[in-house]
Amino acid sequence: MSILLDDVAFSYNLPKKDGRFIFEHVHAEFSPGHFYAVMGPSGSGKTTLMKLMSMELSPSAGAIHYDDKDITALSRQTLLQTRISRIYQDYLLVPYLSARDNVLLAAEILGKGRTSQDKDRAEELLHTVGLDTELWNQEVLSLSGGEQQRVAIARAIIRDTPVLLADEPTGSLDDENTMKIAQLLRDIAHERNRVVIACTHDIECARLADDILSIRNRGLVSLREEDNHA
Amino acid sequence: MRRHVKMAILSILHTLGASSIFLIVVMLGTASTLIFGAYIQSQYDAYDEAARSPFGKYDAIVSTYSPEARSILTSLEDAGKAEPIAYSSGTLVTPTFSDYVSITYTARESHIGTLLRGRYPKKDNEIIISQPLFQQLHSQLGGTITLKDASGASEEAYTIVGIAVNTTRRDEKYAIAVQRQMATSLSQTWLLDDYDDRLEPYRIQEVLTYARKIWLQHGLDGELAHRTLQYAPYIQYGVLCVGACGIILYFLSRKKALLRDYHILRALGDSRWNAARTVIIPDIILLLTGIGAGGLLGYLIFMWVREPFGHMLNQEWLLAPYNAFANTGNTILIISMLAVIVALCIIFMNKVQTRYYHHLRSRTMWWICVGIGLVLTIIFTILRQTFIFPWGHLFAMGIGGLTFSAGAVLIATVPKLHATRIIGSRLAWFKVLTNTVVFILCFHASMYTCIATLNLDFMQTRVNNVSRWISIGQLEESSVRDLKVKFPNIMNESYQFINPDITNGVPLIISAADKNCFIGASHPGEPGCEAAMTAQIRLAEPDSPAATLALKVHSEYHLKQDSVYAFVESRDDSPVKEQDIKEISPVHVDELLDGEIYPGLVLTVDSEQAKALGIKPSMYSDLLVPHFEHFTEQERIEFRAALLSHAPHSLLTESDYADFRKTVGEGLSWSFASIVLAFVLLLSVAGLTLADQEEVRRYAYISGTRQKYIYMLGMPVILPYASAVIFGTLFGRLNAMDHIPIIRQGTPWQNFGWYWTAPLLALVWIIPALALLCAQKREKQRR
Repeated sequence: MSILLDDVAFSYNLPKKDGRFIFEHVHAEFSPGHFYAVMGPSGSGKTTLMKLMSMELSPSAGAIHYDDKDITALSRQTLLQTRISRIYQDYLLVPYLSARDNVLLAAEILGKGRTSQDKDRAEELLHTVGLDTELWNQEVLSLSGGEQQRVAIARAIIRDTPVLLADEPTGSLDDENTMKIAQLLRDIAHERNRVVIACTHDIECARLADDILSIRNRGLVSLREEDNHA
Repeated sequence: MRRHVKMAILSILHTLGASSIFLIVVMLGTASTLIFGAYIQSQYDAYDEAARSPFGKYDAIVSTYSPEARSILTSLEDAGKAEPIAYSSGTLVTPTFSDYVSITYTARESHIGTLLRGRYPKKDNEIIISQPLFQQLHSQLGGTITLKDASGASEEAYTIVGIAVNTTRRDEKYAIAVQRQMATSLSQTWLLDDYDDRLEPYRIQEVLTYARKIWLQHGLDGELAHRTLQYAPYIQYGVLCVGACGIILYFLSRKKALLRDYHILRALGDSRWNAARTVIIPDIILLLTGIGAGGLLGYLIFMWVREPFGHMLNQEWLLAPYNAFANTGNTILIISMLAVIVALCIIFMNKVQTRYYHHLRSRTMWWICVGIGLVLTIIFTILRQTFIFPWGHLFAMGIGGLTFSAGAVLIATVPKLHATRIIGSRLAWFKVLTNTVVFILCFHASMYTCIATLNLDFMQTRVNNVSRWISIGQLEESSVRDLKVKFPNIMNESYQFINPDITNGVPLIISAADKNCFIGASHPGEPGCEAAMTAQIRLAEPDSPAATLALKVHSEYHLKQDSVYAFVESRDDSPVKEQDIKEISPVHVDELLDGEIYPGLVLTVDSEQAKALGIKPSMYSDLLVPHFEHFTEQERIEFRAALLSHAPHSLLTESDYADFRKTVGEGLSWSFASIVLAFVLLLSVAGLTLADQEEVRRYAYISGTRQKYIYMLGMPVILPYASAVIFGTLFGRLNAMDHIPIIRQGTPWQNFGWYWTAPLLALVWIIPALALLCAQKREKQRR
């Protein structure tokens, strides 16, 4: 499943911001089997881009297409259930559930029920993201920021949707785990033929991406294309 | 479904601290309310029973029954289905005491009033006496007293075996003896185990002729007894509303967590309905569990205590609780559900910051205090209702106010523990005390407003039922004169009974039929002394035994001749005529009322006769308005309103007895003052809340938030407080408004309470709801 941003513009239209546009005339295409890193300074609109692609926000102009289908033709619930998974900057975990239950909750909502395979799959993913076994049954509230982030990543991955949107997925991780997670995201994109888009500040994480998109002048610029042009 | 259940359980366990406290509060609230409700209901019924028949049986007044009826009653007595009861009076003598008391003779052990100590008499020489009498005698159980019957027919020694108090006659000195012989010889009343259709014609005849005013009075007493406790449900509503506010506060404090869980589930692709259902289920489970467990707890406690309490308080009340449970339970359920709905509306609609800064340091100690407060509130309420401690309601109000407001604040503070640890608790004390005052005022306003209603209804009922007679506690002579000036049309045809009891005379019943009755010893509703109750003094035939006895008693007590008054006998079969009056007393009546209700001596205000008699009554107990039914509605309203404004306050006591009830005037003034003060305090609370949110306010200022949003910060807190105050006061007002005219510049205005109070009550919720809706709509439009 590919994603196409076609002449997208967006403004929060807040009174204090005088209608200033965050994005204007944005053209971008995200293809399956690729891992994209979106970079930009704070406040440049990385999270806004995630929200636009997950229908949390609607573009002021232009259109977003999922496989040539306009996003507005879909309901947000359908989009979240069938096409995209998100890793949130502030994790959004249910605090009183364990790490494993948080992961299973996502699978259950998506699958409308819980299967025995889901449990094995959840444990496998928790192992993959590097969460110690003894933490699996602990309330996520008692986990550290990095550990919670890994639970959030596992929760997003178990949903196995065509698109994975990750907002600062390695923000709370050390270098070793950052690389591990970045590699995992890259593997998901390549091995499962998924679209993985990660907004990040981390250069190390971005280096593993197939393409790095930079937010400049209210638009998205592909560094790979720039290099090619250069 | 498994997910919902699991998340619900885990959510409850996760917030065990807050939720368990919430659970306990709901539980205790429900249980105490149920018990309170059951208790009130039982007292209500007990009053009813006591007013209709002190023995909880059918009674038959036989003084004018035909021989046929008497034979029926005799046959019933032989079959053990009827018992004679005799009311008398006499002198009770001990080495240190001698006074008149009323005496009840029964043929067998009967339950009258509430047995406080000891037991009921079983033998002929045993007696139980009232608590006031016992206190005055300084005697002990097992002590001996001597009773001299008024007729002089008997003088017997009795052993005190019990102490009783009758809730409808709690100030009265009386004694009850099991004396079959006396009961049979003196009895004019028979108590029947079951109603007997054969007696119905005689009962009807009794009502229509001789005894009709007694039956009327009897019915009114029952009605008044009902009204005496009618304020209780309002207090209950007030308590429930405060509890509902606590629930609202709980949900508001949970807003952040609920929204967080909701958004997580939505972000994971869950539907709105599923997500909302999942996050709200734990709290609903808690609420229902609290109500259910509380109901069970209340039921168990009630079942446990009803036997001893039932025996102690009133035998009849055992029948009451089940209906009370059902009614109270429904009320709790409805109010709780409304609270949840309101809370959810606020949570999902309100975009305003809802941070609470109630600063409490040690929750455990506070909860212990709240628990103790609850128990004390209940205890003081019971003590007051049983008249063991008449001032108990004041303590209950004070402690209850402190307890409920502290509880509400505690519920709100549970999730804010981190803030409480940082900031300290001084402000919390101030806030709780402020809340307490608000609650007390609500309580106070509701109660006194209802008492105001009670008094007016008391008067109106009589006016409406009797058509022509108004009785209002005790009215000062100056007030009567004012009324006469203000309402010459009405007062020109009005008369005052001169109550000898208030002129320092010893009132006597001088009648062949009622030779044993003394006014001071009689009681409304007691057959046999009805004349004493109604006409105060009745005329006896010259040279009749009754007249001889009157003169004997008169001389015995060294009374002046001119303080014996004569009244006209109303009975058709009375041989006494008007002219006979002069033969027994030099009194000339201004006018005789030949109506069927309360004929007797009536003197107009400024009566020359009264002056000639040297009667200087300071108070008028009754007021006759012979043609009240012919006056226009406006005149009636004005007159009633004027009566209200003249009602005295000096004799208003804690008693529920009709003669001592608070008057409407005081009720009105208190309730209005309470409402005004409550609103002033509400504004103070609002100000305090805004001051509390200083941190948020400062943040809002720095971030350039508009001033109006800063003011809106207090809205979520103000709403529950506003509802507490307004519910507390308006529930009481609602019933009162239709009846109590507002006096403006001396002119009474009928204000049609329901028509404007109900919309006002609705506006309490509608205006904030609309404001929030509009705010939300604007927000959407901006987006």
